[in-house]
Amino acid sequence: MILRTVLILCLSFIIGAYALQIAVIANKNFPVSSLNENEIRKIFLKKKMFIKDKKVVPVNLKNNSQIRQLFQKYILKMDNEEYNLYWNEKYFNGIKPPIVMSSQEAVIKFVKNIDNAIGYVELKKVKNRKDIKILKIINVGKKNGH
Amino acid sequence: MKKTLNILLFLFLYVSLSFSADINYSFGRGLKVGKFTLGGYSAFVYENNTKNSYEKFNWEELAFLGFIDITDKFKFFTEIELKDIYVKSSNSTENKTFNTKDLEINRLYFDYIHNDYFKIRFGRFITPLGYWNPIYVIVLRWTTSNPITSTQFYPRFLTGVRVFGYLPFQDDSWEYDLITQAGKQINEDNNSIIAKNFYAFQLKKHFWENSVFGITGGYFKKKKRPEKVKFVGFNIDIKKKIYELTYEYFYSREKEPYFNKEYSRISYYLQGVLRVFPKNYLIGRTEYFKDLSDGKHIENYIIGWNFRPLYPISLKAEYKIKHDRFNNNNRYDHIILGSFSVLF
Repeated sequence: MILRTVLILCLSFIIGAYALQIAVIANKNFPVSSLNENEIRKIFLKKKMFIKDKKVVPVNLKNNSQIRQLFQKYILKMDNEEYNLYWNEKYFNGIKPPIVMSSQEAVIKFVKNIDNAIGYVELKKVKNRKDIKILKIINVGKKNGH
Repeated sequence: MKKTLNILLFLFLYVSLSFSADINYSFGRGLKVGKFTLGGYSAFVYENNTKNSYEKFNWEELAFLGFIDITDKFKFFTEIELKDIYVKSSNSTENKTFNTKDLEINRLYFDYIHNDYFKIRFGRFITPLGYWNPIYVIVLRWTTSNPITSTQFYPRFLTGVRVFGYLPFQDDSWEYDLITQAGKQINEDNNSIIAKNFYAFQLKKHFWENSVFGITGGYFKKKKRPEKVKFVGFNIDIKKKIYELTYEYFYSREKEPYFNKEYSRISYYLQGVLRVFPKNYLIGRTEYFKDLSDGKHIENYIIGWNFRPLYPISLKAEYKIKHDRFNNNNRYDHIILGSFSVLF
């Protein structure tokens, strides 16, 4: 019984250590304090450009970022191929994809400084910050499991 | 004169902005100079009709796109195109080489975006009805050929006003479009159907992640002809990770007032796309068209392959069986089509 409990605790610890949570973050002046996954998806695909009449500014991570790949998979529900074909159509109609930042730190800095900006980073990078809003936390499984 | 002005405006923007700071080019997404983006697309098409040994190579299009977000609410977009730049055909009357007079303004408009529920577009734009027409260019569509349904029921372009956006309920899953064309048009003779006044609506319901159902209807009067046309249509597009199914239907009724006659047309197609392995797509399509005024009847069967080595590039091969039936005469054509197209 004791052995089983210890085993479960160890497993929980290991899984916990590798579990990855993505925080969808926004500037402090962002017009709402939470968004659902569908709204986030629409914002990052530029199907929705305004929240409460304020133009929102989505910011992406680089394509080779693991966080970006997880965000694409769990929120945008697209792989790279679908994502790029989607933006082909948008480009033909004069709609540009979100701005791309090279690191999570750059995303945080951008979101902090630009009104109505919205981005996403690992939750642990922003957990105790008071200068940005966390709109949504997304559980995306293990960090190195993809 | 207008064409020349547009070209000069384009060149001015291109040259002046090229010397400014903050320049960034990415293949398939254009040259970004500050808020301005300059890009385009091009397509080369090969066609071979085995029935009558007809063969044609065509550098079909070279188009330049320019757009800028002037403010958060105002946007400008333009597209100029050179059509049929170089044509070499077994029918020598079709042969053609480059001529700057062939430069056409495809699109030229301003958008005012009040919010996601109310947007207005003024100018010349692609008629946003149905599934196929808004993405009619070769590089975006799955096959080199267009389904007959997409070319016979309303003009490809309109000059007028479009009011569009989401309807403010059900999680923004409904979209509306109200379109009107009246008065003088930009580049009015460069169109699939030359129409005068035009009025149409569209309602779209988005479901699942990427699927959509739409209904549309409209009315227009042909230019320099007495016919008045009413049309209705619906379309459904179901898109999943590795496959896409599209069905589009249109019906029109044309009234000829002098002899008080009415004619109907009907057309539909069903298309399936399967991602067989990464960057490679298999396409099958069946098309039907019937003109009840003269009994003309067309059925097309298409099988194709689309290879996208890089996302802005598309290489397509297609085999098409075209069956024309007219007054109990049957004609079968076997057509091979290939194309190379690119966004830049």
